[in-house]
Amino acid sequence: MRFIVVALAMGVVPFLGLPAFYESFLYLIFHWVVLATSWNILSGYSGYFSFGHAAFFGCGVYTTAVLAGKLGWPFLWTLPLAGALPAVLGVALGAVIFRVRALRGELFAVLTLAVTFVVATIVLNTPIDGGPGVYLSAVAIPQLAPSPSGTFYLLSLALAVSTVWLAYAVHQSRFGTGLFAIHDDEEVAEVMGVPTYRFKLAAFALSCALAGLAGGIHGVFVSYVTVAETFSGSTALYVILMAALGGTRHWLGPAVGAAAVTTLLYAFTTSDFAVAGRAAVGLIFILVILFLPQGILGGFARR
Amino acid sequence: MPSWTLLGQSALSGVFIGALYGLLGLGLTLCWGLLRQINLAHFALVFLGAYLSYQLAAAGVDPLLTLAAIAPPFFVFGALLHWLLARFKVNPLNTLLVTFGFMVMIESLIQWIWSADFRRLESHYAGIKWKVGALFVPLPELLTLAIAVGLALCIWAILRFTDLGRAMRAAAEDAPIAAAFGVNEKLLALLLSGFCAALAAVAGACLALSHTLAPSQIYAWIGVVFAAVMIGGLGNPLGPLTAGIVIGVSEALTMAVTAPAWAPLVSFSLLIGALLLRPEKF
Repeated sequence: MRFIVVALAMGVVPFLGLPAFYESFLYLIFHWVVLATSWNILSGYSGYFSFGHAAFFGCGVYTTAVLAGKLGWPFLWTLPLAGALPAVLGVALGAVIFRVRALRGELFAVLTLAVTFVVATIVLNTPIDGGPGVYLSAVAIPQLAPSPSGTFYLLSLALAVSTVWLAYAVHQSRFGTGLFAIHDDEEVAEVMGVPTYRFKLAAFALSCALAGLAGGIHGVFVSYVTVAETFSGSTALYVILMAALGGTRHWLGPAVGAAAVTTLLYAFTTSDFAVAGRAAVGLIFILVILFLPQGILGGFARR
Repeated sequence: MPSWTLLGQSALSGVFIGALYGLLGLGLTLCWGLLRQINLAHFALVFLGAYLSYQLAAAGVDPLLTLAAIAPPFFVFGALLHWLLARFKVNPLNTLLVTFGFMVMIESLIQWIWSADFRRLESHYAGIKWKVGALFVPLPELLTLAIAVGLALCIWAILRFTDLGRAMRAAAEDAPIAAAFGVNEKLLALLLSGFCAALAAVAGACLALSHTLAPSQIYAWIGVVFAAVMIGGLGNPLGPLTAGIVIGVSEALTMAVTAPAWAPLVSFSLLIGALLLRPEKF
């Protein structure tokens, strides 16, 4: 209920006639809120730190890019597939990875990082992209709001609120309790009757689908997608940074972290001190992990 | 199908690039395997070392002699980094995040001092190459290979045969028990972390000899060097070198036979395969 009120209250922004800058800036915040929160559903709750979020995000980007940009599908019709394909990829990977006991902790992190590079190489070398990138500037943008930036604002707002609501719902459910049990001690959780394999797989699928949806919208938002930009390692790192900063054990933590980091990066990159700004972000990151290892909202997390 | 000469030359350049992967991975694998720290800052340190080496070489110092000036301060930085991580009892996953912060800061420092432009170290080594049979062997790459093999063998021997090495392995296995048997594990860890940072300086000097430098290149090495470290087995000093050479050669042959852009697929498929098929080794 609270989520619907928040969504409706924020949904009026595009109709206020503000400059497009505000809509685009808030769009970016919602975009990162979706990525960080969706990452947290698997990685924060169950402790399986994925470095491959860019792979699933990119899978969504290229699903929309191929369907809307190359095959001429209407933009909104591509979104279900942009969510479904990454989920299928995630389940296929998870079905193998989660069966191998040793692939926990750092090894899971490195393996998912490797998956990003493999997916990126395949996209780069096949007709999916082929090298030059895909232009999406000709894709028709549905008129949900008075301006195109308002439309992206509404789409990403809807997705961000749904994602945070899902993270909340999972957090409060038996499913979430099971994921936290896996985080704390997987052997014990298994013995206590938590279906660890199925829970991990379901969380992975949900996480990938949401990242893919964010990708589908983002591809059309930036209107020109390349492999290097889409699958860059910094996406995965920023997502982890945001979630760790906000607190991985709280459902709202990654959203808070995403808003903070996006604002900080934006404030610094547009000033005259872009390089010093990056260094400052690095320093803030170190200090937060050292002094608040549970994140900003860590103290509020009841689990 | 390309000619045998081309394939031979490709394989040789694969061995050389593999030696560099191994050299970069050496400090990383020791830190990870023996101290449980995943040190992303290692990559930034390698590049800082490379840039310092470039700067000193531009002032007329022999690129290999620059190490005498660069390695000691790096050693101190590595020891301080470990002190910080141990002081706050940072868990292995959070070491990744903290060292990521350091990596970003060092990258910003590099970009601030040397700008984002590409830099190339000019030295009297660069031009020298020999013709062995039908193949060309460039001196800078040969030096890298020799240093990588020499260091890996030395560290392997030290860890295996000396009391110092045995103490380090014992401390990695079970620190409290090792301490109870009189191993000063805190001091050893500081030394080891410093030594890993000094290895980054060595890798940096070798990188500067054979590669063009740019701050953005830092990220390009992470994936493949991680692959070499993981395939080689954590904490095994010979691991990154052998795995690096396997990756390098298979990449180079893939490039020669198909398109260069396919190369990453080989190294990361090798990594995924290694993780899935023989996980009991880790």
